[in-house]
Amino acid sequence: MPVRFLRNAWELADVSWESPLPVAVANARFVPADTLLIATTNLFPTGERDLLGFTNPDLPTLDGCGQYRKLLWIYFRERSSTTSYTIQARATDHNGAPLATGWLTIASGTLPGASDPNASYWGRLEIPATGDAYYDQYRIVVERTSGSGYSLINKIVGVR
Amino acid sequence: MNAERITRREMLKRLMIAPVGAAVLTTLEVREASAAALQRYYDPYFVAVLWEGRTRCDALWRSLKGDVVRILPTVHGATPYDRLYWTGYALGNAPVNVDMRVLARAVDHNGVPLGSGWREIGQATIQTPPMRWFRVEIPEGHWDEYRLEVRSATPRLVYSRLIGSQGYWRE
Amino acid sequence: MRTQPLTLYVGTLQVEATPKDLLNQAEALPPTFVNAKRYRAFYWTGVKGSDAPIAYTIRAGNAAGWQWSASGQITGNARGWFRVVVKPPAAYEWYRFEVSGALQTLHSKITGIEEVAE
Repeated sequence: MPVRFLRNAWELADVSWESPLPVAVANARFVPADTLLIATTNLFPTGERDLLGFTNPDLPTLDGCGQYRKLLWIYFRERSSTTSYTIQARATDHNGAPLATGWLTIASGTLPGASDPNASYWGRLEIPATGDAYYDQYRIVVERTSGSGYSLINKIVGVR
Repeated sequence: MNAERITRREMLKRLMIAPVGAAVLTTLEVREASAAALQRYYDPYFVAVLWEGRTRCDALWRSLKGDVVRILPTVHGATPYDRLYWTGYALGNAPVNVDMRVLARAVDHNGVPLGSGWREIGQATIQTPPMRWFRVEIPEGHWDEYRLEVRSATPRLVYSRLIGSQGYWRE
Repeated sequence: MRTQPLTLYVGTLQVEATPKDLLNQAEALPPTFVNAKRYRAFYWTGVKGSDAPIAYTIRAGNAAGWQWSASGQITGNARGWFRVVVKPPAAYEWYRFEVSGALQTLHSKITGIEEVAE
């Protein structure tokens, strides 16, 4: 005997691949992931800069991030020239001012890329790699240390 | 190809008695379940079906939707999900031998991909006896778009579902 | 079920050799936080004032007494940032964050992580 349900409040429909049984999830709330940043970093010049291109070491790249358990840094690099990265974080007080100057470095290394330095590459880093974040401000710094210049296109998603 | 027609009731009967085959994505670290009390474990609290349908597999890499157009995603708007599961069933009496690969990319505020191509998350070969369900866990979530591709030396019809879940690691 | 972070404390303390909590309470019994049963983890982020290490002890319990504790040291240079993550094995009503060390200023922020039933 086929399973039937009331569709559009008036017609009886058989359950099939084309007409599946409607299901409403009642016991959980959907929590969206938030896009915090989409920016292109110009890595044609050398020297350290954050993803927004700032060289002032006290300026955050991201602010108001205390609610996020983790950040995901997704990037597309036009070339895989050797590029270093440093991820720094700190907490702020109730007014949004940092507790002090400076930063806590939570990760650093060489930005993953293709084996061919001229090849493009999709990459992704979890911030932090292990454990949870819950920092208020982040500063994400990159520096091309060898090879040809390129544009680094970034997207950072906050996950609660 | 001889397609076997079965009723939904018959499919459910086979599901109840058939063990689940599993495939593991290569090139990607997969967390294994553990009975140790102090191990961290994944606790899903929201699950959604992102796609469900059937795919005619042949020798070409095709998206689950059937296209060979590599720029097209299988699903989009998948950012909130921290892991995905692909589960399905291939009809027929022959053992299943289907290759699959998972591609992903991110988009900007206008929905345009940040760059060309895709990030290859991993690939797997589904090799299960006939009349068995399979399941592949895709632990790299929070990409905006995914493209799941399949191919098979022998043409097969695969019914499958792609599920996204939100959860967190507990101790 | 999902997690939600809440700021429980932001402040500055003069660390001394005598142990005291972040609210400057030197007596051993008074808690720093009460009604804290719903928090499953605490994230303590801050900046220390000198090179000397700061010893900390985190106690958990209730009005009947302390039932669990964890100790450690905050090390690093002067004006260096630190992070201590506290994940108690059970849900407790009271917590006391106690520090001691060479004289220095300690700026701290403590975020509690709550599990919210949806």
